[in-house]
Amino acid sequence: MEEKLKAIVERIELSKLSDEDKAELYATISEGLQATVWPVLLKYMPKEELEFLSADPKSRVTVESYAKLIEDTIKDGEALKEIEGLMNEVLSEVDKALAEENV
Amino acid sequence: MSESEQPTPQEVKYENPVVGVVRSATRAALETNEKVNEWRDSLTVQDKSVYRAWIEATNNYVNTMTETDRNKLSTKLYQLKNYVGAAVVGVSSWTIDNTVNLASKGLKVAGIAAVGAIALPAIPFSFGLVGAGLGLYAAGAVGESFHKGKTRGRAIDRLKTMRFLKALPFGESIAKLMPIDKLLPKKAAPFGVTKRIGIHMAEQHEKSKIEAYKAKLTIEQRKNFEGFVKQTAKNIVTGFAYPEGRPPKSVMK
Repeated sequence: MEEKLKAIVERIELSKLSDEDKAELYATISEGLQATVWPVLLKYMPKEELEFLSADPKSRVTVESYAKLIEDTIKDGEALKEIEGLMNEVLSEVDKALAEENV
Repeated sequence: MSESEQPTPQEVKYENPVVGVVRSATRAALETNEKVNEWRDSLTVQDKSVYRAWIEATNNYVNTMTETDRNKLSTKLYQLKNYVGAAVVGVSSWTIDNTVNLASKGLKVAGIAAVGAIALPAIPFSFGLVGAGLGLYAAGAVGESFHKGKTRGRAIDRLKTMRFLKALPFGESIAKLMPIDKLLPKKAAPFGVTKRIGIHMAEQHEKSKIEAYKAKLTIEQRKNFEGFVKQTAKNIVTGFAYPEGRPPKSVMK
């Protein structure tokens, strides 16, 4: 993922696009990458834990319980692998689009 | 920088076709993903009511978060990053960063927005520090520009400030966030002939300075192009690449 993204940035940097367009491209790619995260996180969140917290959010949602929920969601690595796969898909599409536009 | 690049009130904002194509490609990549569609359309990945209650809960909670809470959360998530980074094989550290940062944002962003004093609501607290640093850097530039230029009149000060900011990485975006007018002299200088000539000369002088600065920047970048590319890529992953520091507008819209 890192190498793919760096190759894209390098290609954009070496292009004749204006700084503003480059920044806009980076923002678009960033938005695309970030949009892959929450759907997968929610899929892997332990449902019982989520239900327990949302049953009495005012007293149960704390820094500790929130951090634990995130930890339990990603600690076995499955969610992260899926997110990485999605990010790679987004980057592949961006790469293809740039090639089509001769960037 | 050419004069034609200066923004005017009549300027029409248009998007470079390349940006449009990349946006469509990104959207297509997300739309073809079943999980994203499920989540967006029906929230069936988790029970809808539970998800809503959760969102409401986190929103309520962030409004009562103290600075200590935010720091505690930052620490816990930082520890989680390290733990997962060591325990999970085959996942890029950038993926872990991006995921944990977004999870962190889920609980913090509304709190940061509530504070109101921070102008970068899309950036989670940990990156807020970086944002604050950059903001201070920009503020320093504006302050210096103001100090040096206060006898020249408002217009040239503004021009100078804008040009200086535009020369910085994401400077144009920072310029949009900065209350530049408030930092400039309150009284606008009269636009007499002499003044106009003076402004023109100052503009030319400023232009050559900026050109020299940009040339130098390019040389510096070439010296460490690899580092520059890596940092930019990192900014993209961490969400620090939003030009206006705005909350992310969904590419799905």
